[in-house]
Amino acid sequence: MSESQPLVRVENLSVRFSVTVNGKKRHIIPVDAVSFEIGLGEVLALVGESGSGKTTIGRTLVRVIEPVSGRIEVNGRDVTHIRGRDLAAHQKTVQMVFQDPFGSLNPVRTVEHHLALPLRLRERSNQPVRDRVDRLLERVGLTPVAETRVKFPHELSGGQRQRVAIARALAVRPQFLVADEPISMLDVSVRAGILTLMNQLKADFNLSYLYITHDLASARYFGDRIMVMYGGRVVEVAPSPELIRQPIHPYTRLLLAATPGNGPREPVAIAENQGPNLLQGRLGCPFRDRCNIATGVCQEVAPRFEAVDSAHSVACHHGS
Amino acid sequence: MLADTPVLEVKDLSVAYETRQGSVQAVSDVNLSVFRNEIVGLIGESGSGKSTLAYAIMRLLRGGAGVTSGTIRVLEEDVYALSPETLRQFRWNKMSMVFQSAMSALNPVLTIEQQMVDTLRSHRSQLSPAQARQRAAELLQLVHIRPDRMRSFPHELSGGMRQRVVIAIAIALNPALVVMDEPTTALDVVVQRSILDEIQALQRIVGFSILFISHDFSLVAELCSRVAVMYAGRVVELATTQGLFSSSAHHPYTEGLRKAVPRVTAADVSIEGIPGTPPDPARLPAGCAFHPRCAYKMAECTTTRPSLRTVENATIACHLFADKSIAQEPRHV
Repeated sequence: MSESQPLVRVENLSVRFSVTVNGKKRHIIPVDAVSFEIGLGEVLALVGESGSGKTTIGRTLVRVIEPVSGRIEVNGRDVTHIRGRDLAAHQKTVQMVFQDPFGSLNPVRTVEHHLALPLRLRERSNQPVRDRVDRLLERVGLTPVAETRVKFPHELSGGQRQRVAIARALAVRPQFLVADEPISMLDVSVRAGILTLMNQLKADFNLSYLYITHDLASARYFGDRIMVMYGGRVVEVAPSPELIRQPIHPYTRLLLAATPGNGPREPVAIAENQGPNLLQGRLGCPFRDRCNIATGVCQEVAPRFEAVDSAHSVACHHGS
Repeated sequence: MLADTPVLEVKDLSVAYETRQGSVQAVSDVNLSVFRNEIVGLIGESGSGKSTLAYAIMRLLRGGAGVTSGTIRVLEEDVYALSPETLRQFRWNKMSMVFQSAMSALNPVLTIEQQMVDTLRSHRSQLSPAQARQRAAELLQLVHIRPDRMRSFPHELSGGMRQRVVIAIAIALNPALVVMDEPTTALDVVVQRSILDEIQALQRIVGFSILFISHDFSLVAELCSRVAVMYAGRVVELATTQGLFSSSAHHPYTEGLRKAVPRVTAADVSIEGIPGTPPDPARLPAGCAFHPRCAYKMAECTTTRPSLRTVENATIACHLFADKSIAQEPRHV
């Protein structure tokens, strides 16, 4: 991870949305001063609950959303506020795979149409588009290709649709994929196939991923490192095995204790609140209201993100 | 535990949907019992028939679906022999159901209190409004919701709190059986865990039996004492939870599911998917419905459907164990 230049470098990234609270216009900050890096060929798993800001980060990296402050660099180039042709070029480097393979494909277009369009966009080639479509389909395991090519999304299973979505993302030869809960809507028996496919693509194309998930188990399987978010902030990041073995932040510990398949455990504390406050100008640690070791300082001062060792960092006043 | 009569007894049950293309068998020849104070898990993927089975038990099948053969008894009463009025009283009093989406199970324009009082009074007409309110408050306390939240509307509560309310309503009249259809699937991991803790605690305190339906193998394994695995409308394996994680004999599908799920703290992180996808109930493969995805496929799997047999400590429908089985007749489960 400490190579000379990371593929993606995010510094102090904040995103702001306008909302109406009790008839008044307010701002929320779903992503609040987030910094991280992703190396070449690295998978960073981003774990958090709904409302933690994980999807917003993904969308900001592909620049569907423009941040209000902070900086995003890809390959050393600042892409934070680029527009027009630069943005189009950026979006060939960075592609996204969505959670819902039903909503992300056009129901009246064939598989071939979905893949031919980005292939034509990418570059001119002497090879017929159809051959390149076939190779993509083979690559993601949708064989026999001649049959799959002419199918419509409704003729495919959820897992097959997600494979088409991955093939479409690969068509522009990206360096970096944002995969937002790509397996959570799929049947249990087909999830492993998608995860192993993404793992294989990582190895074959030296692809980097931001793997967004709510599930620590799949994060541990696929992620080289795991980054845990709560209430718009990163609370902990560490290499996957270490984060599971030695979680420090109280939220990471809670998440781990709550994950099924984890053997005997204590009952977890009951979360009565509606989730963290995301309004602009909030103070203190986002997790303080649910934390069993919170003190006065946690109410007022946001904990700094500090390194425990070279690869493990945590944002907690009481973590060590 | 196995000595007394079951709270729920499903016998040779088949359910079919009438469609324009003809009759589609969603549940076939299912035998399943749930005993007093027992939590039985039912695992299956989309199209396995697990939700159809739940609706059949509650006699809630709609939209062209109907029981084509078999019986369902709850507390020894044939659910399908009850008159409409008896059925209405039977539901909630003897058996109730918790659905996946708490938001659609609750009425959005009534407060939590109103909904609970309505349920209580429509089944216990002798309760005064004050008594019903008192009981509603007690029930909410049982699921750890503060009494001051009683006047809230469903949309004012978090997803986890809504599901707690639904569970409180489900157990309001002390039913013997609660059917839970993916009650935590829409919730965050931590909230899911606290609801599961809640269900286990309530089950110990109040004492009722649960048929817990889920697609999540590790979740079911933690919660339940016995587990039925459904595939393509049939129970293909019935085992104790302990047995499920032991190296004893398993249906290849069960084994595949176990290998498909990454385990968060296990030393071995490798996973292996099951090739192919679950079949369309309208176009089931001949023989064993799992054979196109099975690594152990033999010639007879494509022609002859295996019946359930007792193998070691489980009941399994697979030709692999034909010579290892103890009895050729399916044990009454």
